[in-house]
Amino acid sequence: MRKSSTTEQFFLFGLLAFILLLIESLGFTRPLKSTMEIPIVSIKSQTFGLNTFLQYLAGWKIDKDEIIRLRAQVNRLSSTSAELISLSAENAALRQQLNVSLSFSSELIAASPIGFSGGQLTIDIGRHAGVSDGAAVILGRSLIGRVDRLSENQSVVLLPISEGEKISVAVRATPTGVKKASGLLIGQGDKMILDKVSPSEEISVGDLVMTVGEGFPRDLVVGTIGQIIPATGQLFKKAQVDQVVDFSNVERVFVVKF
Amino acid sequence: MLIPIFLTVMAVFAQTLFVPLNLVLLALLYWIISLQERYWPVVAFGLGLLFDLLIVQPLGLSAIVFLFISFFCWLYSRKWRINHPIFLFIFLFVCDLLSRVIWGLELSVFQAGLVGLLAAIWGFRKQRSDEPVRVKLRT
Repeated sequence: MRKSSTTEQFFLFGLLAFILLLIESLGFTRPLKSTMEIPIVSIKSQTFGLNTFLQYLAGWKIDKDEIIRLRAQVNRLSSTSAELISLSAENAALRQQLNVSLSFSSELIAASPIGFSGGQLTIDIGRHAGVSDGAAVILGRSLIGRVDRLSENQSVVLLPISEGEKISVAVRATPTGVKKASGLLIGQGDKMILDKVSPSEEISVGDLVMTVGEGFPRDLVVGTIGQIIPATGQLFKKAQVDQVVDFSNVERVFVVKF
Repeated sequence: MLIPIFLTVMAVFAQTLFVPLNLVLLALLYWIISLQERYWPVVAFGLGLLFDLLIVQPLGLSAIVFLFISFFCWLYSRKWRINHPIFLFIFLFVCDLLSRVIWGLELSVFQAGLVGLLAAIWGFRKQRSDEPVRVKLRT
């Protein structure tokens, strides 16, 4: 039998890949992918745990402990502050009893991160668990991101810091919760920039940046104003926003089910 | 053969889990160069499918990307030396940026440059080891 040449092999596998893509677009590969993903998700979950262990061995964790603790504290404080904003006198006691309260009533699905790379977080649940495309992912009262793409058993979450990610937000004063400004939060890979803030609106360092309900549930904390960027001859005010959640260290997140 | 396969799979997992570098491209390049005329389409296709499953992309997308990268490398290797560090640097740099666009990952010139640099160092070492040993004859 004649051995196939390299060019023939290339065209054969190229054709196979195109056919696979076509079948994928029609949704016929879901059962196959679902089966193949089970061991992969399991390995990813185990290996992601190994990452933490390796970091600890390398000593990075020891140096970062204080930072992680402080970030967690900031996160807790921000969540508490945001909680105060939406508390009404009528159901205050009930909300306090529940500890974490949300301004929307949707079912939450618990998930564990199994990968963090390139501004994206992979979680261990997908369509099987009821996750849908574009669903918001939260932790306490903080926004983690939105589901960008998903399969049967895993989902990729686009974080607010992801390059090009845009979220409509409101800036609120920290103790009072009074709305101070509206703007657009833009992810730049490793940081977030608040843009399109009217020059007449006053913002200051430490103010909370929260969702306004466009694409995400209302009143979720995205970050705090870290630094006002001086605008010389520009139409809008800009500020750098500090994240309140250390995305690489979250152990559990919740997907908001529509 | 088993060790390179194991390392390749580990590189793919590492990239999708916590390493922001495009290790899968480096692994692919290793296979293209070491397999030369043989089964690189099979490797590119298999690696693509595994990568698609890991990064939750449509099945076959990365396979096509890897097949085209391998095909270009193969065509290049038929005319010129593929181990050349400058070629490897530019090629990996461009491929890293292009593949990130296709996969929807954030672009990083620094990371693309680092991947290119690693490939160039490897190419340089390979070029040195492939050179015939010159023996000085005393007259």
